[in-house]
Amino acid sequence: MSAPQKQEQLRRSVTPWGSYSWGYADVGADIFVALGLVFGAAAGATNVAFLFAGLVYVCVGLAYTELAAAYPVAGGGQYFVMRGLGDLPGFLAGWAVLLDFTIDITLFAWGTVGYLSHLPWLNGLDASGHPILHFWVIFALIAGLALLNVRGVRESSAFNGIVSAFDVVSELSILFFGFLFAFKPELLVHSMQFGWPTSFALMNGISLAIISFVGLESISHAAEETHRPASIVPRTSVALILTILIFALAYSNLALGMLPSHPVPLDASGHAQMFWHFLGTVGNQDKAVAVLASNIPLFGSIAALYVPVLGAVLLLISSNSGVFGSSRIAYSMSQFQLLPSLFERVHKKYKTPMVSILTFCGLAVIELVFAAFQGDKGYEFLGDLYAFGAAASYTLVFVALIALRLRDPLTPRAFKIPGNFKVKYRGEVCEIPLLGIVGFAGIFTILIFVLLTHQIGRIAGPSWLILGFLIYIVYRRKKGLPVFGSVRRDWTADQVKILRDAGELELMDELVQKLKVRGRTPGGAP
Amino acid sequence: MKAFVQSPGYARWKLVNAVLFVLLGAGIVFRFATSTVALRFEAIPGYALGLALIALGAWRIWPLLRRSAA
Repeated sequence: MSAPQKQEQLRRSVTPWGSYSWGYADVGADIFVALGLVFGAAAGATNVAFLFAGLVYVCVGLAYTELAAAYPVAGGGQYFVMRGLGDLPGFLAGWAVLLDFTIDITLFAWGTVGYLSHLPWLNGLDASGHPILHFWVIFALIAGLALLNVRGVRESSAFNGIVSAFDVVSELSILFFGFLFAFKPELLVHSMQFGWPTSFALMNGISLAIISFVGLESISHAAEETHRPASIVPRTSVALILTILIFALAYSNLALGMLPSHPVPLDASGHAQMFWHFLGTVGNQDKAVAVLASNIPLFGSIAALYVPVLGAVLLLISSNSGVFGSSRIAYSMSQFQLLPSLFERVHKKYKTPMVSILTFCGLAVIELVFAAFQGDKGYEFLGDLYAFGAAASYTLVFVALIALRLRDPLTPRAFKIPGNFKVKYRGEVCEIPLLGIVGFAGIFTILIFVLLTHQIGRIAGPSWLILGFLIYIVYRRKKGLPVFGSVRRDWTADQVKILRDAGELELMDELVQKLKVRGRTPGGAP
Repeated sequence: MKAFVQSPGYARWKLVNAVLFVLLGAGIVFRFATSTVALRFEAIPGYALGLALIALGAWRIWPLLRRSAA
């Protein structure tokens, strides 16, 4: 039972730059959302929070790179976990990713409005000043994206490429001028000493910092549409991982050691505050990068005009990728009989997965309503849930990475996480990735931090997983499929087909040769 | 866009900005190393930033060097 056989083949036309910019449009937008939230929680240790989460993210990114190059299919984490651990864990990973995609829709639509409200003539859109107008504008954005996706309109990869290129140049300019004109290492150290948070706040900050590194599913999505992904994906992914890490570290260090060009307003109780403290206040959390950029001497007056617009465009693209990604994952899960076939249904005229799109946009609106009821804490509420979904699915991906090294040692890996030790398992020599174990420990720690420090996240996140599990039980029982076991699939034959379709003929030959030596055929029969 | 990223001009541009990344990273490491806070725990994220920039530059230069050596 090979699900991808039913699916129409995607054209493999994504270039290395296309693959990079696809990932960048997804992950690169995260810092626009995360910076203010992390400053609000981790205060003077924000750079440490980003460093901790960033090192974990490097391990996650390398794991995705290895898996996407070895299994270039669009399902991403859900597919890797299902293949490595079985149907139920695969479902839970996919379901956690779905939570992230629906939050992605709302959180980034919220961020879009936040950045636009930094423009002088759009101040009226600010969440704290006009909450009702703010709510309806976000609602309209989500509804608009749902309609566009039902019609089958999606941002083109050329548009992604241009926006990403412009954004990389813009962010480098912000950092270059910021470090050149306004940065003082001594002030950075003073800010860290003066504003060092409690352990609880630091754990909260670290768990929020992981949201600046969410969206690695896009590496897998790009892999399915890239010709010869085994050689292209590692090259572009490593560059993407380093770029995102640099931006997160650079922004947090810059803000902590920056002398702003404008006087910092007094805080709510009338006391003087430091610039980084001002960035983390509720009013600035949803536009922190624009506030930072507009406070750089000389460059700030230009940045104040275009950074809010650029941020809004990038966030809107990311919000759209949430709509597109959730419908694609649900479609893939229903093809693997993890979700009802309802999610496979396509619109008669537009040939798009309308049921999936409307369901997950509907969920995004429900999340928006819940966030709106939180008042000033609405943005943080969405960030909490986003962190939970990411930490839960990334934890499972690490387990799947190690499981696949043991259970599928024959599939050629054009890219391997560095640092491996050999073990013998079922007569085969397998390599266990040390960095995979370190990454698992790191992301599991972050998951614990989320559960410990996020009052709403620790209830809403697990509740989402329990709800999904109940749906899964009902569906699988109704279909007569095992709930805790897995449907039998011929993964070896699937793998040969995947490599052939990807144009990785040398890797396919290598796999077939290994199978022959062991007296097996690609069909799986001995 | 597609034609541009496959042109020799783009390869040269990549080389130039890779060198810039390395220089910027080295500059940040140098700035921290020569400041009064060079050996403090709080300087670690600064060093990490500099090293990440150097790594990104090296990652971009490496294939170009390998190709020209071949």
